[in-house]
Amino acid sequence: MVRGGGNMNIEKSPEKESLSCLPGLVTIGIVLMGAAWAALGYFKYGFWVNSGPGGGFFPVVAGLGAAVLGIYEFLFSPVKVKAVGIKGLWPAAAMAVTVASIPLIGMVLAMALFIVLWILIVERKSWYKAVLTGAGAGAAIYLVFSLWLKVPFPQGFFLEMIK
Amino acid sequence: MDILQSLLLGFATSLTVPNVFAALVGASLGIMIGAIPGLGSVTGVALLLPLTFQMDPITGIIMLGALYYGCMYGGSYSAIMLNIPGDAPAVVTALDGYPLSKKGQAGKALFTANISSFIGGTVGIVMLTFMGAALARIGLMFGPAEVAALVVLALCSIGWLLGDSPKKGLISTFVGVMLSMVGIGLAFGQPRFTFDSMYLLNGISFIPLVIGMFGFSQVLEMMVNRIDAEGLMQKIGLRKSLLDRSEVRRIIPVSLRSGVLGNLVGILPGAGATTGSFLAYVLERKVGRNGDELGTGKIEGVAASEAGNNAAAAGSFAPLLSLGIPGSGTAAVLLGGLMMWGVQPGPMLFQNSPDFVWGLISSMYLGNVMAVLAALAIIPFLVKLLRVPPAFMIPVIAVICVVGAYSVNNSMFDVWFMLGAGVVAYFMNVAKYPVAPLLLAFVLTPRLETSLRQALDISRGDFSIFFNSPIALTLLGVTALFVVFPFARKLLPSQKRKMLAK
Repeated sequence: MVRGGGNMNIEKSPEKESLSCLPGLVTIGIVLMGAAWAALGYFKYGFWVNSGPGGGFFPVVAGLGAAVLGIYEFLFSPVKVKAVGIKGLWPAAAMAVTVASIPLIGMVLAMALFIVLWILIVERKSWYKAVLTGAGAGAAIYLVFSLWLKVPFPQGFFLEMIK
Repeated sequence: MDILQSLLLGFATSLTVPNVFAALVGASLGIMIGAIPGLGSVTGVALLLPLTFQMDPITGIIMLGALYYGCMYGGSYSAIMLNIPGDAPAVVTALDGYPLSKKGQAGKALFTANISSFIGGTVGIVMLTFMGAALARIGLMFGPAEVAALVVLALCSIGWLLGDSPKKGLISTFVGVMLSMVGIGLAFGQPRFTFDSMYLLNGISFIPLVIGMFGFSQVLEMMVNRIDAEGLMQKIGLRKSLLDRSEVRRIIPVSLRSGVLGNLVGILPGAGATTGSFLAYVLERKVGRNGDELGTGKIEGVAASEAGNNAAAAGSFAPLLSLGIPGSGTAAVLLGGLMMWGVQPGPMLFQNSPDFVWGLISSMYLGNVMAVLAALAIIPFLVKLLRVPPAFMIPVIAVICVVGAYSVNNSMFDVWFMLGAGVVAYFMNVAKYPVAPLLLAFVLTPRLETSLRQALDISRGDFSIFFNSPIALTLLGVTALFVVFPFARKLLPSQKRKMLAK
C-alpha cells in the first residue's frame, strides 16, 4: 500500500504493456469534471433562483461533492491496484474503426465483418468458423432489426450508390 | 364478492381460444423484445399497437398486456447472462444476476428471475383487482413534495450499494447526478452542459449509457481476464440450473414483500418500475436474512429486483384504469391504444365498460401465466447459449452493444457515446469505482429536481411544504434514520452492536 498521490505509484506489474497510471487519471478526470460542473452551475445556470433551486443547484452540489471527495481520494486514500492490461482497449479500438466504416459499408455488413475479422485475426480460429459466425450474426441482425422491427440502419455509401 | 363475480365474468371473456393464443404470442414476443438490449416495453407496445387495431379490442389489449409482462421477464435475461441490462429496472437485477452467472449459476438466476417475476406480478395483479381504485387514490396523494421525499429516500438508499469503498461509491453517485444534468432540464427549460451539441439537447440517453457502462466495458474486461470469461462460459447442465426446495423457500418471502412494495411504488405517477425494483432491493438488503451478502451473487437479490419491477408494472395500471393517468411510459402508450379503441379510462370505466375492464384485469393473470410458461420453456436454450466459447462470444456481445445502442434513437451519436461510456466504465472498474450507483443516480435525479422545483414553486420557496405533508414527513424521517443509523451503530460499543445485529 502506498500513500500520498498514491494512485500514481502503484505496484510494479510483470506485464510490460500496462496502463499503470490509469486509476489516478480517472480520479483526476472526475475532479476536473466536478469542478467544471460546479463552476458552470454556479456562474451560468444559477444556484438559487426565484425562491427555489436554480438550474445550477444540483450541478454545484454534485460537482463540489465529486471534486472534494476526489481530491481526498487522490491524496490520502491508500490504494493498491494491479497494472491494467492495455489489450483491454483492443476491442474498443477495433470497434471504433468498425463504427467509423458504417457510413461507407452500412451497419449490417460492418458488424458481420467485425465478427469475421475478430475471430480470424484476434482469436486465430479457422476461416470457415469465422465466416459462418459473421454471416449468421449478420443475418440475425438483418432479420430481427431491419425486417421485423423496422430499425432504419445506415445502408452505407456504396450500397446507396449501387441503388 | 362483487369483485370476484366481476373477475369471473372477466375470465369468461378472456379465456377464449383466440385470446389465449393472443396472450401466448404477446408474451413470447415480449420476452424476445425485452431480452434485446435497447428495446424495452415502451418500444414493444408501440410496435405492436398498430397491428392490434384490426383485432377485437379485448383480444388486442390482452396481447399488449401479455407483451408488457413478457418484456419485464425478458429484460432480466441479458442482465443476468451478459451483464447488459435490457431495460432500466434490470440494472438492479444485474447486481446479483451477473455474479451468479460468473459462479456458473446463470440457470438458477434465470429460474429465480422468472419465478419471482411471476410471484411479484401476481401480487401486483391481485392488489390491482381488489384495491385498484383505492390504490389509485393513494397515488393521487403523492404530489411533488411527496415524490421529492420518496426520491430522496431512494437516492440516500444508494448508500447500501456503495460496496467496499463508500467514498468511491459516493463519487460515482455524484458523477451520475452530474451526467443527468446534461440537456434541457424539465424544470427549467434551459439547455445545460450541452457544449453547443444538438445531440445533447435531449440529454444523455439512458440505454446507450447503460449498454456501454455494463455491456461494452464487460467486453473489454473479458479480453483482459480471459480466465474469468472461460468460467462464465462453462458447461451448465439444466439439472444444475433448477432451484432446489430450500432455494424456492428462500425466494418466496422475498418475492412476496418485494411484490407488495413494488406495487405500491408502481401506482405513484412517474415513480416507475426502476424505483420499484431498486427500493425492493434496498428493503431486502435491510430486512433479508442474507441482506449483507446482496451484490455478491445471491438469488434473493435477483428475486427482490424482479418481483419489485413486475409488481410495479401491474401497479401502473391502477391509476391508468381508475383515473386515466398513466403511471409509466408503457402505460402512456397503452392509454393511447385504449382511447383509439374508443375506451375512455377514468372513474366511469368500471361502470361504462365492465366487460372490457374486467376482461383486461383477468387477461393480466392470463398474460402472467403465459409469460412464465414461455420464459421457463426457453431457459434450456438460454443456458446452452452460455456454452458458446469466449472467442465467439466477445465479438458477438460487442456487436449486440452497437446494434442495441443504435436502435434506441436510430442515432450514430448514441453508438459513439456507448463506446466512450464503455471505455470510461472500464477505467472506472480498474480504479474500483462502482458503476451501479452512477446509473441509479442518473435515473433518479431528474425526478428529484423536477419534483423539488415544483414543490417549492407551489409553496413559493417555503420548505415547510415538506413538513406539513404527513407522507413527505414520514418519508424524510425514514431517510434520516437510514442516514443516521449506520453512523450511530459505529458509535455504539462493540458488545451492544453485536446484540443489535442479533
